[in-house]
Amino acid sequence: MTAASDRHVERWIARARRGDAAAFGRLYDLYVDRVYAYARSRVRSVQDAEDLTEIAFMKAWEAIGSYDDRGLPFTAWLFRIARNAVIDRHRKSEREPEAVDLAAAATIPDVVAVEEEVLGLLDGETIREALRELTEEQASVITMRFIWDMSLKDVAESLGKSEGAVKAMQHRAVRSLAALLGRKSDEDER
Amino acid sequence: MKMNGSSENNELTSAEERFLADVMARAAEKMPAGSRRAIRQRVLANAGGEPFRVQRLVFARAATALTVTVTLLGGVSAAAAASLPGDMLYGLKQRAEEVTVAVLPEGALERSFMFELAERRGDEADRLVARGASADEIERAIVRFQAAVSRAYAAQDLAPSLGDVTAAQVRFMERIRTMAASVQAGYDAVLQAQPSGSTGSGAGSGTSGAPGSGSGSTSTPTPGSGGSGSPSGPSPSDDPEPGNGSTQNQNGSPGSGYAPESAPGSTDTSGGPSGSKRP
Repeated sequence: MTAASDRHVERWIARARRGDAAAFGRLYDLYVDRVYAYARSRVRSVQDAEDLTEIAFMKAWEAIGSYDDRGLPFTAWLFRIARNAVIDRHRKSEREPEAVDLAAAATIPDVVAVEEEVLGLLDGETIREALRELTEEQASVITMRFIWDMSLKDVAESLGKSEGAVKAMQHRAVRSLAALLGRKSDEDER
Repeated sequence: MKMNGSSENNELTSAEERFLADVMARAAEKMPAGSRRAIRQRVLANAGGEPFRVQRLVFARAATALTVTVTLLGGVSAAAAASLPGDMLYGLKQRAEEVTVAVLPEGALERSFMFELAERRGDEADRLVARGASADEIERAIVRFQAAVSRAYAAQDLAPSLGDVTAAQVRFMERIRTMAASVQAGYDAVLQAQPSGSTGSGAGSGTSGAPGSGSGSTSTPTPGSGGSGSPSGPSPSDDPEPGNGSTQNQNGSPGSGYAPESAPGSTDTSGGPSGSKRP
């Protein structure tokens, strides 16, 4: 990710809003990895993830003229666009990502034992497979929190939820992920 | 690592936070560099206009500023490159410039090209004067010149802090000042040669007839005519070179002050190299 001060980012946003494509290019450089990482966590193929990233930035350019920096923070605004692109893709392909059985996840005891070594044994794709089994909202929440480094408040605004609801989703996500990864680790051992 | 149970209020424990951070770090994958570049070019070509030019302009990414100029000249034909505002081919020239700006990666190459565009606009204004264009035509060219200068300065955002100006920047600013002075002189001559009030622009309300004399009495956008701060460009006070001279705003001499993007009359509606059209 390109190192850029908040001041620079604000200027790029302002210039892009006025139609400056070069400034938008800088925003692309800054955010493309985050958008791609999110897309990659939601679709299986690299090509699909790249397509979604491209669509998200195309849409962002179309919409940035009306972006209001007094409303959503830019990252929350951009994530919303990326998320909508992913949702649209799943809707069109009628291939909703399989969500983890919440009822089953709820039976996981509070004390979830996922040994550090277990995580170390799982490769990136296996972990992404587990992420794809989370509900769309859970995956969005933890992506925004832990890849996009967004605050709870910004995540809540991006999703149109309360901070409490975001915390609850985050909490369910960690339990579901622990269960899924534990299961995948067991499968690998067999 | 043992992840102890979460607290009652759905707050993640520190162990859970670490777990999620670790999981997401392992899951995060960077886009392959080739795809990253290709998508950038497609997105920005879409933003800048004609995608069909992108393939040729990809070559320019790794080239020097000189190569960019050559690419442009070759891309739009010498006739278009030499065209002036009002000529049929001028639109083509502008489009080529816009696409180039859109696909250039940030950095020295982009900044150099911004300089090049500013000089090109100044040269056009000069040539319009030489061609005997009307004051209105020259004024519009000056607006474009001013916008291009503002934009070139704004593109220096990523340059080292002001005060640590590069030799190239200093050379550019000196050339702009010289060019602006030439345009100003030509413009003054045109105004004096025309009957009073014929331009309809309000220019020449000062005693010398010079536009943008710094008194705020006119809105004619002479490059370097001073103005208020810009939200995206350096303000006159932090501009290390243009406008630092003692001539600033004494007689409206072009180049005697920094003309920010937001200065009256400096809008891009004149078709200056504003980057691209709004979709």
